[in-house]
Amino acid sequence: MIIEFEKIFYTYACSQKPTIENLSLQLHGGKRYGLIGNNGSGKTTFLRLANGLYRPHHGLIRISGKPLNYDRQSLKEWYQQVGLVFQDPEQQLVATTVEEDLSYGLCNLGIPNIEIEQRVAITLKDFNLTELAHFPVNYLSLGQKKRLAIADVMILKPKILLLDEPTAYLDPKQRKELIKQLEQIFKEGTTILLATHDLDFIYRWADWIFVMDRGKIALEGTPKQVFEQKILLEQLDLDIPLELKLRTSIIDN
Amino acid sequence: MHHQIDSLAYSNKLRSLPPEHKLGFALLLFILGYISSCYIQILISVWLIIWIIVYAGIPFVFYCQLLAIPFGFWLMSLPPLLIGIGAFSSINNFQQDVIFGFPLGNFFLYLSKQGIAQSGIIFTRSWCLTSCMYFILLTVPFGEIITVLQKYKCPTLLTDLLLLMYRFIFILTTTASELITAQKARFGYLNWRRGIYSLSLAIAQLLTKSLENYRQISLGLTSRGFQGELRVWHSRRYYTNWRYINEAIAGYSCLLVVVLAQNY
Repeated sequence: MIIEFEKIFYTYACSQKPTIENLSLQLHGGKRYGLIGNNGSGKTTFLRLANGLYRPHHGLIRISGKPLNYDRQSLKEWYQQVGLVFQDPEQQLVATTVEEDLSYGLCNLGIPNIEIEQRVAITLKDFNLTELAHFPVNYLSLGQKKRLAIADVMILKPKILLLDEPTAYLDPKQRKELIKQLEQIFKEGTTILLATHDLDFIYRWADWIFVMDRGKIALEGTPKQVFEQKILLEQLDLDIPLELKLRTSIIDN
Repeated sequence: MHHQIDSLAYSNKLRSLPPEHKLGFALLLFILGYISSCYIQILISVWLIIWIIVYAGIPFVFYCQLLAIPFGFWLMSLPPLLIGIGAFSSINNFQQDVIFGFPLGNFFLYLSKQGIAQSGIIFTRSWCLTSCMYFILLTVPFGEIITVLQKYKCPTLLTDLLLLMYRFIFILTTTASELITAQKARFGYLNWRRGIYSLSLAIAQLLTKSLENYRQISLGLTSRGFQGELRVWHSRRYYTNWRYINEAIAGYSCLLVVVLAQNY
């Protein structure tokens, strides 16, 4: 097991009701996890808790059995091991050129320049960004920005990669490229947890799916197990993937 | 226009020259332009046109548009500079300054000789000093200016703020343009009154969105392990071009000799 959440509660300062309520789940290594749920169900908050950006008001988060202490040193290690890619890449890109932006996290970790140079070169190649190395971040397309935001996290070699709606606003070509990239990351041994509204994609891609509703895990299981629960999904105002709908319709006819 | 300046700073023909050289050159010219006479200021401005248009390859029309900004301000400041006003009874006191004038009640309105000379000084000085600034903005990408500032021990707080502001400008201008487009699509600028109202709404929205953006960027920085300082690494290699160095040194020396000769 890589990461474990135990009875987590989190309430925003401006809210009376907890956004995350008594949430417990475990993520195991070498798996592709999907996180689905309606807007406001707490997906983004959960990802930010998992990344250590928010501190739960109750409950415990452990990585490889070691609890997160929220002191400076522990958080530094945590951010390196659990990487988060925001929904809007603009919020994560800080430097002026692609190469500088990639090096930012490594510089924060105090890694020597020789190693930074090597890791930047490898990451640029892996993410097909070599030609854009000296390109200004401000002029990248949304697809390129998303790719760079993932590369920014992956250069730190995290154990687990969290992605908040990575396919949102992407055209089919960019979406396809991104999925290919995620597949490559997974093959290289990184566990992935991906929050999305794209049910067709998550149905085909994930090994295990969590369904969130009002800050809790309402349902979890393999894609087949989850999408078989049609009544429960209907109650949660969630649809089923088109592929399943078609299959059911063909069988019914 | 801001985006175009930034884009040209990354794509100009002088990009490969060390930023320290370009910054140093512009800074020395700025000092010389500030202390010298109108003629030297005109010479510096013309010389910088050659550097910017010919050597850096900045489009002439775009550079003229940029120069129109300080000239616009200069034009706006002209009426109070050129037109003098005095009591008609004491006209003898400023008679020598009058080129042309006419009485207006108890006052005398006139075109001032001193005003013309002063506006000429302001024109050449603003042209010269903004040319130096444009040379930096159009040939050195902002990130490289920050790198140079960091290299010469400029306070980290200042360089970090500059970098974040630079990133923010792009996000803000994009947000503002999206807001205004959305308002235009719903006839927000159909007439003057609605236009002003829509603009006020856009400004209020922009403020809210900026604060939210600020909060999100802070989280983004934290999640990438921000340690109180924005440190980055780059592999850029610069090339010293002796032809440009020689021209810069020779030209600057000539200007300096003329300035010294004029003063002593």
